[in-house]
Amino acid sequence: MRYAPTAASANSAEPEALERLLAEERRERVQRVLAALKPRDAQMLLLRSSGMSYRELAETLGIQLGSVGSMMARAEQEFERRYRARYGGHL
Amino acid sequence: MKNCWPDGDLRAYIDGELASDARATIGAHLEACSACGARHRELAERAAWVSAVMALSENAPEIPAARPRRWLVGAVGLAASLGIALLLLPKRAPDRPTPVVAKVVVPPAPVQTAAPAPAVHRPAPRRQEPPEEFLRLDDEPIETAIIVRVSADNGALQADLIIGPDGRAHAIRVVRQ
Repeated sequence: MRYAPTAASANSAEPEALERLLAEERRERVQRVLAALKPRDAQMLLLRSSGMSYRELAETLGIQLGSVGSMMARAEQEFERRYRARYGGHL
Repeated sequence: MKNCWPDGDLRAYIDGELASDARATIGAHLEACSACGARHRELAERAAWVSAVMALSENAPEIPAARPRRWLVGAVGLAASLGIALLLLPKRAPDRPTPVVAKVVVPPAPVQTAAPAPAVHRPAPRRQEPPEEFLRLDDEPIETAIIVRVSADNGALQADLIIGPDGRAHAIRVVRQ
């Protein structure tokens, strides 16, 4: 008699483990791309992602408030370009 | 169209980081200018995409730190075990009487020889103390191990350590001299 796996015998921890691996892979991808950016661009993206306002970004990075938008747009463009070049469009 | 807005202002407009008057002006311009409207959509889509990627990265579990080197683990284990041995070893008191261990020594049977050999004075064999029991340092079972003898105080204090395959000391035995 051959063993037939049932739904109850399926390891319920496998999807969670797979999701953890994928999440770690995404994290590593982002870190690699950020490391390839100019330090100021990477700082801009990380600080904005942490919830800083434009005024706080300007004070933290020592730049003019009116320059934050243009620097943000340039950093995001460079981040997307490098990310898609390495990993395609998949998140 | 004249009075088109640069990317920086459009990007700040997307984030709602402009003053109300500038925001109203740009909003009106976007409705009238297809080029700026297309640029605005492009910037907004990119900002959303980057934000999603960064958010996914932040939700990921922390990457575990690099494992400490095995020799370092072993060295720390040895040092810790030796420290425990120092604490466990009773201090020697010169005036404390040494306990006498009763031991029956069976002399060897005399051997008949043709000519009696001259009597040779042999020193009495050194009495061996019974080996001390090992003190377990953890309950983790191990299949293989090596015994490492460590000493301190110029050899006055010695101990045997049971080192497991993980490089840690699992048991210790103080060697009395």
